[in-house]
Amino acid sequence: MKTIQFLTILFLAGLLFTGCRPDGYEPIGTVNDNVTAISGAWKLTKVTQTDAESQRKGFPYAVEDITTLFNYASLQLTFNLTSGAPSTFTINNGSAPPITSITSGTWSVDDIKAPKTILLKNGAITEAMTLGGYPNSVNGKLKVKVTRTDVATNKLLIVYDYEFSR
Amino acid sequence: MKRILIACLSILALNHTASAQTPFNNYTIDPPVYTAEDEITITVDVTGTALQGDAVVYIWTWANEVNGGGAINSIVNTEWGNAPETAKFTAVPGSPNKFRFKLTGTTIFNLTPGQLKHFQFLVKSKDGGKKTENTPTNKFDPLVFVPSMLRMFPARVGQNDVVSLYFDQALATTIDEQRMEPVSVTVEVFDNTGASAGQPLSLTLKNVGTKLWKAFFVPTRSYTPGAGKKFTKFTYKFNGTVRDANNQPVTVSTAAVDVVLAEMK
Repeated sequence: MKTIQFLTILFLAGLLFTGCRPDGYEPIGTVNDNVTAISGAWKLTKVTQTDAESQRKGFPYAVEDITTLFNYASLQLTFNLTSGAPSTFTINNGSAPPITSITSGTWSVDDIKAPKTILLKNGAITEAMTLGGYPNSVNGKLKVKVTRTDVATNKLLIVYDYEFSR
Repeated sequence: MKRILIACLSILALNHTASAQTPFNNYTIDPPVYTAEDEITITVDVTGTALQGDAVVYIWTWANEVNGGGAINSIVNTEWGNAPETAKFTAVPGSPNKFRFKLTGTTIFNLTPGQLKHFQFLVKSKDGGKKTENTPTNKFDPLVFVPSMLRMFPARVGQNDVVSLYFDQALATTIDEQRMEPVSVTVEVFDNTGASAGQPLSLTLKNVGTKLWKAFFVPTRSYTPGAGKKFTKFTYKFNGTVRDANNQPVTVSTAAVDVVLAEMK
């Protein structure tokens, strides 16, 4: 009788032990195609200028919204894709001050699945834009950051935050 | 009596001549904009001074002197007639008469960043028998915020940046600046050869608050640098009108401010 009880407990313990396996999770929908989300034509809707040194020192007057100083709304940025991969870009400044030193060329990203940086290239010139967030169905805005660093001291002096809409 | 008077006048004239000497300007500071906490390199060229041809030269430097008073000596100003080794410049190889000296404001003047406003120096022989004139004042970029009548945003800009210029009349100190009705700001841009970019800009002011006025521009949007050149500096001053005794408008301006443009990447 004791043997039967022992074997039953052993069987149940074994059953519990083998039952404690992690469940495999099924994928939730399809993976976001962030490069496609970035691609297409964008219009500049907001420009913010940050004095990085003043911000670092805790001074007042560190950030200014400069959207209304110039006709930034006339600036259009287009990222083209070829076979789903980044290819060419164009920037039509309109009557706005240029936001980069190049207005056409090729673009690429640092990570095709989860890009953080967009690189714009024309000949020997390469300019970087840092992505603030991916456009999606909830927030359709493209947010990028362009930094200005002092060559002499290598200090970050100015940050421009650009917000684009379709 | 007459002789005494002539002697006194001669001494006064000599004294005036001595104090009106041209400042020693043949030097550079790298980086051109620095705080009291940054290490800077001063490169001097003593060609044409009493020290020309000397192999060894020394620095004598002081901070915060205003109108001949309030100077704070550096820790290397130990004895005028016997400069210490810590004050010795390093000769620039292959360039006679050129010397370099590295310093950090807070260290050499033994002051906090908030206490340091600007500094001057001269170059001398070890025994002080030969020396250059004093340099003009070299300003430290402030580490504590000091409200001022004229302000630029951002505080450091390059030739392609959007520059906002502010006139805060509440902080004006002269009667003209306090009374003026602000109208415009005059901006003149210079390239790396020192040449003016063209006719100075006259930017219309916008009232953006109580006694607060603003104008903005982008240097390379207003002017195009010549081939192989770049803009390195601009000056600005605010203009306005005041009424004279006959109630007639008279144009007045603030003092001009020099701004060094940073080279950005």
